[in-house]
Amino acid sequence: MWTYEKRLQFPVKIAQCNPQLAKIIITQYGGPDGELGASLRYLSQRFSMPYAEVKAILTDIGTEELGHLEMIGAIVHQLTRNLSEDEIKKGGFSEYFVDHTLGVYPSTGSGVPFSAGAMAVKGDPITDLVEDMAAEQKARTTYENILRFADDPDVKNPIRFLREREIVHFQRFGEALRIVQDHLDAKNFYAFNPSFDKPMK
Amino acid sequence: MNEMKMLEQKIHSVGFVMFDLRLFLDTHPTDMTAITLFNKTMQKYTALVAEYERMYGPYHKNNDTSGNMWHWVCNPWPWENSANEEDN
Repeated sequence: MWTYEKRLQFPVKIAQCNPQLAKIIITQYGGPDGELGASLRYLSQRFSMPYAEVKAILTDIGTEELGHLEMIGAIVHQLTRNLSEDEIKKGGFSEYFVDHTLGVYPSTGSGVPFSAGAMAVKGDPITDLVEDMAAEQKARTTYENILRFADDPDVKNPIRFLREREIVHFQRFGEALRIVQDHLDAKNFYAFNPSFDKPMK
Repeated sequence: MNEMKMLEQKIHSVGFVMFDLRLFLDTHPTDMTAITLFNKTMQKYTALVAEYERMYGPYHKNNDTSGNMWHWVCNPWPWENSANEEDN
């Protein structure tokens, strides 16, 4: 069950519209390493996770990612609000505009709609956590690539915050993986899926 | 920034410390240093919220019906520019 807090995790207050930048940043809304995929990945992996601490971290990070999704949506919305038809044309925003007007639609930077194909739920704690660590690194790289194109501090500050959270999450998932490995013992030395193959007691 | 906004921002930053400690505690559930820090931070948070409510009314607006109005519907919503403070 979830409740909604009526605020952003980190403030987004952008004075200057910039449709070119919005087109790039939207990939963190619905792209392969975006926040929607991140949230869905962690929240879905919880069901086959046998260890309490790891269930907790997947729940809490999966929830935080929804807050990040909202922040990215706010950035895209504020970068494109009140655009004139001329600004849309000049900003290279016509292709997006013709399909979604100024709505925020989960897609990649190149306009491909969100796909669960970019994430995995393998049902094996080690496999899933290694995927999660890679996912946090991929999101960090994406935020660093976004920062190459962003000059406006109104945009850079929330993006930097999100980049830092990827690093914290990577650290926590690394610890979660260690917790899973600590549960492996002489009876499961070769790390067969501890969620499915129950080693003999 | 006015005093109410400053206090709001203080509550947000102390709340964020608690939030981040929560992730740390998920993977270190018996770390006494972190537990002590969490408890201290929570006390600070509770005190700040109490101070806010004494001065400005309900902090969590979810069930605010003052003035015979369901305040949850009021603008601005968080993704709007005007909901976010400038000095951050």
